[in-house]
Formats: sequence, structure tokens, C-alpha cells
Amino acid sequence: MLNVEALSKSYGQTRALREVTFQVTSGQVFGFLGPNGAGKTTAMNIIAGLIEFDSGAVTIDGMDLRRNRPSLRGVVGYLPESPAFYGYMTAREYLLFIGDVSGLTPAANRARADELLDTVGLAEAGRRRIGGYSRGMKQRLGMAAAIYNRPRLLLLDEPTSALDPQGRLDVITLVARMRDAGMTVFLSTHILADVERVCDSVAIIKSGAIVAADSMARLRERYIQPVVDVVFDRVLESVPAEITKAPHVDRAALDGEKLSVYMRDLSLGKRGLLHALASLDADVASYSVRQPSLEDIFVRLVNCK
Amino acid sequence: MSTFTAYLKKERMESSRQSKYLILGAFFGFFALCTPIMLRLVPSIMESQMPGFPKELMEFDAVYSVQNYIRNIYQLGNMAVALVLMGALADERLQAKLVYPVSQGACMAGVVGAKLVHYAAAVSAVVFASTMLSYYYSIVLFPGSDPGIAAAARSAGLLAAYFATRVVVVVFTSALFTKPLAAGLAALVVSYVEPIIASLPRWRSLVAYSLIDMANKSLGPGMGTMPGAGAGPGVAGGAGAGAMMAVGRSGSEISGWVLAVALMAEVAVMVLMTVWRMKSVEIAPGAGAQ
Repeated sequence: MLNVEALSKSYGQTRALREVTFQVTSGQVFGFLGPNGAGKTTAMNIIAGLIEFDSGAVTIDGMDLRRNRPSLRGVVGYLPESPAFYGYMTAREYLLFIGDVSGLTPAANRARADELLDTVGLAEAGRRRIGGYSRGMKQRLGMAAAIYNRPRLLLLDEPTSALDPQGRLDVITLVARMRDAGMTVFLSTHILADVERVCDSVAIIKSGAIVAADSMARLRERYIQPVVDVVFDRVLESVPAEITKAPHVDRAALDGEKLSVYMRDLSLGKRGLLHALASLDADVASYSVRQPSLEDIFVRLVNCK
Repeated sequence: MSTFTAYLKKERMESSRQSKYLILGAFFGFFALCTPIMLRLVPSIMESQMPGFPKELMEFDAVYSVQNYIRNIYQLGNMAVALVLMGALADERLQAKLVYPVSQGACMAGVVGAKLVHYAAAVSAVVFASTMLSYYYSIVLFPGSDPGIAAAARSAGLLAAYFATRVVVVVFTSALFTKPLAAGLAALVVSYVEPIIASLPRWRSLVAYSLIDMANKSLGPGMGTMPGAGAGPGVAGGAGAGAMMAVGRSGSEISGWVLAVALMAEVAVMVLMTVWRMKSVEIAPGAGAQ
């Protein structure tokens, strides 16, 4: 659906993007992660066709962005981080205006506006002026405006950053519904919990360069060292040798009655670890595999590379 | 075309809800009403303040009254138009309001065209109506010196055409500058420099300011004297501006056809440059600083 290759962009002496390369498969939610100022918004503005780039190539649905900019505008929907509207209009009037710009017939335009107000939960507030809306309401209206033309690729720039937990959940649920409806969603955010909830693949950008891009499962496999936490019914004096000698165990750390075992390969080593635990002169109170989080990956990649 | 019609509708809504029509109407209407009334009252005020003041030194007629309105509105109307419209494109860029329409396929020529057509029509209508209002009050307050409704309408039409060109200038500067105030000031500089160009005989028929001179002339010679102003019959008196209005009365005549062709060419160039500029600037959030 979206293929970005060696994309570079500079603002004067500042290099905002350095040969950024990634692919987004059709029908998936793609998370675009990075700390503030990493180049996420610049990349999104380029993909949305709003700003030029210095070098590289962006292909959307097989069409080169530079050569097909006018025809691609209907294919891509874009929700900026702080969507700007005409405050004197009502939400319904704004959506009708967007429909007019798109060339919809009046009847189709009215039907689409009402349908989308309902979808984003603004049916009741739709006839109130946007100037009086909260940030969350504006974000939802922005979402409605972004998908007005039924785009095949939806770009969302930090859609949940200023929302309360319920607002975040609403937006993430909406994103999942769009993916289920066949839309490809490109989600830029620094809220990792949102990415874990809804994204199929992720790219992590740091200082304008991609440091990792893969599916969530592969990222976990590649960047997270599996850890097994074992709690014994008594305090151990030292790390048992049976554990450190077990196959595929990297190291182990003891903290009172809790032992953390760092595995080189969990799938191959867990049987051996269980055997080693059974041979100890201590009863196991609990055994759990620590769930690796995207935050671990993010912190490791952004801070270490 | 869909962009043009959508933006035309949006500009009408914006002007109505943000009281732009009201501001322009009240501004031009106020001077249209006040100018003849003030001219009618000035002799009495002077007499009450200076007993023994000879009233015959301050005699005005309807033509002079309308010409005086044109003089006032040239100076102040330019400010009103610049201040009301200076954000026409600059605000849209600065506040990233074009992001949604453009990402949904809006074409910049349609955006610029709709703004120009809407504001040129609105400002021209207001200026025409206010000039006719000034004419009406002038012939009511100064009976016996009616220049005729046809002459007044012609004068009002020329003044409206002048302000339509000002709309083009303000929208153009609004595309050039990101800050609305900078756009407004640049437009005012253009408008206030034009009389200097119009004072050069060879250039007289090439600048929009000549429309003001033609609007005055089309009313015929007026009668107005103001002590100390140095203005006589046929000249819209007043210090400074009076001298400006005299430009074109001496020296070569203004050629209407040459002026019309020159203005159409100037407007066409400015419109094309406005569209080009809006197409070339980055309209994404945060890109407005360029």
C-alpha cells in the first residue's frame, strides 16, 4: 500500500529525515514511533502530499507521489496532530464544506456528513459551532474529515496525545474499526500502549532515521530477551548452579526469594529450566514468563542505538 | 470548480458570521452619511465658535460634498479593506486551515479565485452603495447642485472598481506574507505610493489610483472653499489629500481604455502570482514560518 524508500528532507541545515525506508502492507495498522522531534510529522506531511521532499521515493498504491500528487489526494486521508477548523462553522457545516470541496452531490454529501458524525460520536454536537468544542471533540471531528472521502490510506498524527483515557480508547477503537473495514492506517504516536493495542507493524524513528521496522511479533523476538521470574517458598542464599548451567540460560539474578532467569531462547530453554527447578531443594511458589513490552524495545532502541 | 463553489460558500458564511460585511458596511456608510452632514454643519460651527466669521467663505455644493467623501474614503477605505482582508490567505496558512481541504483535493486556483471574486464583489457593492448614499445626502443637504444620478453612478462605479483592485492587492500580499499585519501594511504601502506614480504623466494611465481621479472628474466641477486649505472650485479641497486629488487635473488626460487594459493586465498578473505563490508554499502545520 505504502512504500517509502530512502526518503530525505532538510530544513536549512537541519536534516529532518535521513534516507527513511519502510513499507506498509494493505489493510494493517502501522505504528510510527519516535520521540518528539524525530521526524514523524515531517514524514506524514510528505506522505499526505502537503510538503516536498529532497530525495527518495514515496509510492502509494503503486503510484509515485511526486508524479501523481493530484490523483493521490483522494486516496490519502490525513488527521494532523492539532487539526485546524473554521471555528464559526458547526461540525456538520464543516463536513459538508469538505464534501463540497471533494465534489460530492448535495444528497450524498448530507448523508455522508450525518453518517460520519454518528460514527465519531458527534451526532448531537454536530450542530454546535466548532469554536466551542473540546480538544477531544475536535480530534474526533478531524477523524471524520480525514475519512470523509473513504481514503484507502489514513494518516493519523498523534491522534490520542491530548485525550483522556476514555477519549484515547474511543479513538483506538475507531482505528481498529477502520482497519476491519479494509482501510490501511498509518499511526504516528509516542503513546506505546496505543500501539500495542492496535498496531500490526511498527517502525521506530530516531533523529530522522529508522532504527527498526518490522511486525510487532518479530520486534519482540528480535529485541526482547525473554525473562522467567521464579518465586521460591523461602529465601535462597545464592543462585543455584543447576539454573545457570541449564541449556539456553544466559544469566540469573537473585533477589530474596525471587529469581529472574534471563534466557537466550525461551522456546528451546524452558523445558530444561523446568527440569533444573525441579531438581532444587526448594519449592517453587510461582513461575511466570515476563511479558516483553514495546516500551522495552522503544527505550532500548532509542537510547542505545 | 467544486473548490471554487465550496470556498465561495465558505467565504460568504465567514464574512457573515465574523461580521465582515457589517464592518465594511458600517465603515463606508458612516463616512457616506457624515461627510455631507459635517460639510453642512461646518459653517454654523465656525460661526458659533468665531463670532463674526464670514459664512460666505465656506460655501459648498453637492458635487464638492461627494468629492470630499471620495477623498476621505480613498485614505480611510484603503485601511479598512487592508485590515479586514489582510488575513484572507495568510491566516489560512498560518493556522494550517488549508490542510484538510487540500488533502481532500482542493485546488489552489479555486481557493484564491473564490476569495477574490467574493471580496471584490462584496467590497465593490459596499463602496458603490455608500457612494450613492453620500450622493443622496449631498443633494438633500445642498439643493440646487445635483451632478445627476448618472454622473454619481459612474463615479460610484469607478470608486468601486478602484476598491476591487485593492482587494486583489491585499489578497496578493496576504499570499506573500505569513503574518497578516505585514500583508496589510504592504498593501497599504502599494495603495499610498500609487498617487506618486500617478503624478508622472507617462504613468498616469497605468495605475489604479487614476480611477479615483476619474471618479472625481465624472461629477463635474464642484464648489467648495475652505479657509487655509488652498482649494478652489473643481478641486476636492483639504490639505495634503487635496493635492493628491489635483493630480491628473493638470497635464495629460487619463486614457480610459489604456487604464482599463493596464488594470486588467495588472490584476491578471497579481492573481496568477497569488495562485503560484499558494501552490509553492508549504501549507502543512508548522510550515508557515517560511
